[in-house]
Amino acid sequence: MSEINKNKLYTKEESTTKIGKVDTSDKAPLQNAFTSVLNSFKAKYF
Amino acid sequence: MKGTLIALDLVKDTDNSFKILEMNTSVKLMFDSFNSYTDLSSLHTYIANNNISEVHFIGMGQTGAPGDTIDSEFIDFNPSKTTNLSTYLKDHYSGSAVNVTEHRAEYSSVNIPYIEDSPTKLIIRNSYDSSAVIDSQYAAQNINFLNLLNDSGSSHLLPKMFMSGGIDTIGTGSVRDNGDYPNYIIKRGTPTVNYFDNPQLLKISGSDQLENVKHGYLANEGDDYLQEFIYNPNDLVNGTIKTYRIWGFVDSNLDLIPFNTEPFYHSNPTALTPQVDYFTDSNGIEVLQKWERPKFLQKIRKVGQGIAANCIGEQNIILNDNSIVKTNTVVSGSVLKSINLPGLSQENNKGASSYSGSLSDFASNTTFTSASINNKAVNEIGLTKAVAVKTSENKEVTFALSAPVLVENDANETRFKQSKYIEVGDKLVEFNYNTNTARTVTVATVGYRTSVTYAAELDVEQADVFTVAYDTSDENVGFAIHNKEPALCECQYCSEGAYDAGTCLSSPDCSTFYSACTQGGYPCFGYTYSMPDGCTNGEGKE
Repeated sequence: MSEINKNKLYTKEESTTKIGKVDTSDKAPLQNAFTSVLNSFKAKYF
Repeated sequence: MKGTLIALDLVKDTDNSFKILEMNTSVKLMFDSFNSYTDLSSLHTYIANNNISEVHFIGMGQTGAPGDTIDSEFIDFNPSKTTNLSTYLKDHYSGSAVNVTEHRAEYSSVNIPYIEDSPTKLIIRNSYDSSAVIDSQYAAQNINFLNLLNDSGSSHLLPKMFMSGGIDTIGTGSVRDNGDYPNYIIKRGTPTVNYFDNPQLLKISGSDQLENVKHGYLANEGDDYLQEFIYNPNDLVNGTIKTYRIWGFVDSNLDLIPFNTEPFYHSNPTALTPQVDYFTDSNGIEVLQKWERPKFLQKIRKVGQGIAANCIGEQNIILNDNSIVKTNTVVSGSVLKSINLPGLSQENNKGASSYSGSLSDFASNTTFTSASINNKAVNEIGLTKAVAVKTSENKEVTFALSAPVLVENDANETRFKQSKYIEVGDKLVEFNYNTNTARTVTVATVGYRTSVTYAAELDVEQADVFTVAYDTSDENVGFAIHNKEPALCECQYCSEGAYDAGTCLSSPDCSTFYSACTQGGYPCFGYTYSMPDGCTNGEGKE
């Protein structure tokens, strides 16, 4: 059992959720995944 | 015409392929501007081509039905600029022949308001609907969604996984290598909102341990399932693991309604550290310690477990007899040390935001009094974030994240400030109950700790103030905490950290305005995305 970080303090930066746009090169594969999901539903229900 | 907003959550693997984690309806869109993440021109064309004259937007019910949120105390944009989708649509179609109406589900409802459909209406749903198959059978029950993708030949879009008697794309091959970080995750097949205990993150060493988990542990755990935990060291943001979200608007035939949306990412609540802590379970498997979960997961609490509290379990509370005890030892009726602050509202639970005084009012003649605990509301033990402050005199004091702490601001006013907004250089008001004096101490460092503890809200009477001591000191000094954080209505234009009405309500970024939040009328500590329970839309509630 390790507890080295049990009481560790983090800075605000380290404790902040970052949100942002994806790289342009990632858009197509993400969109393809979305389309695949819709097609999976269509194949089952339509 | 009816449509639903849906979103996919994904992660990017080390080979840059994306793996789908889950699908959601009732989609929480966390970004600073719809203008940056949407292009409504195609929707506008669609509406025009279909002669649609009414757009109805069904939003989440206040704090939401089975909502799709992440646990975060701090985010990297100013939410004062945030507006919601219906407002964005209203603004877009303002002055046109298209009328946009917003509807909200009832608080905590899983049913949506009924709106009669017609060819000239476009009904956009972004609220959980228990009668919709896509919500109840797939969004709410991820295991069905995973099976759907696997059965349709899309298992390559999923992390490798194993279900006892079901999918096994993990096989008997090599064990995933994430270095010192968890490499597998056990998720509950039965839907749960207990994200404090679920899922479990494991560091499995070797194929024997992997087989043991697959055919030993999981064989006895119903429909729980094992997945590779995707960690990609080349896909971090400021040292923090990312999750991707792509979202869109589909009609009842699951065809995309043109509504160009930008995918986005959001990170986990806490940055990675080189080493992380595990405990070894009875099977010899290393299981991630609870306090490490914010580094690897976005949801870390039990849904419904409140996080607003004025003290945490380890807090040093000063009793009226000057003894110092931990929060967990005080009960209703315990008598705490309190302070008479001239000018503080005498109205019950009021004044944390409106009080403004001067150190000179009490610096040399502080009047202490007593306050009895009228009620002690305790959250279950969970991951609780606290603010650890070290003063320029190298003393430490810890506050609950939402505790209103008495400070002196730059205008030499004594005000209550929510501890999450305390910054280096701020001046805390320190009271000495031995000499009946007060002074300020300067904040030298501020850190944030996520502990496995509970948080509590002490409601004290008659004075609404109690006092807490330094973490390790019994030097007859303490800090004043107002017992009631002001709850906020949907005051979306509050600037982060603002705690006076002028700053909050005169922001030029205000895009949504609720009637009760008039200029100078309702002061805010900070911001909130949603309304507290019992708060009617647009009404202030302190």
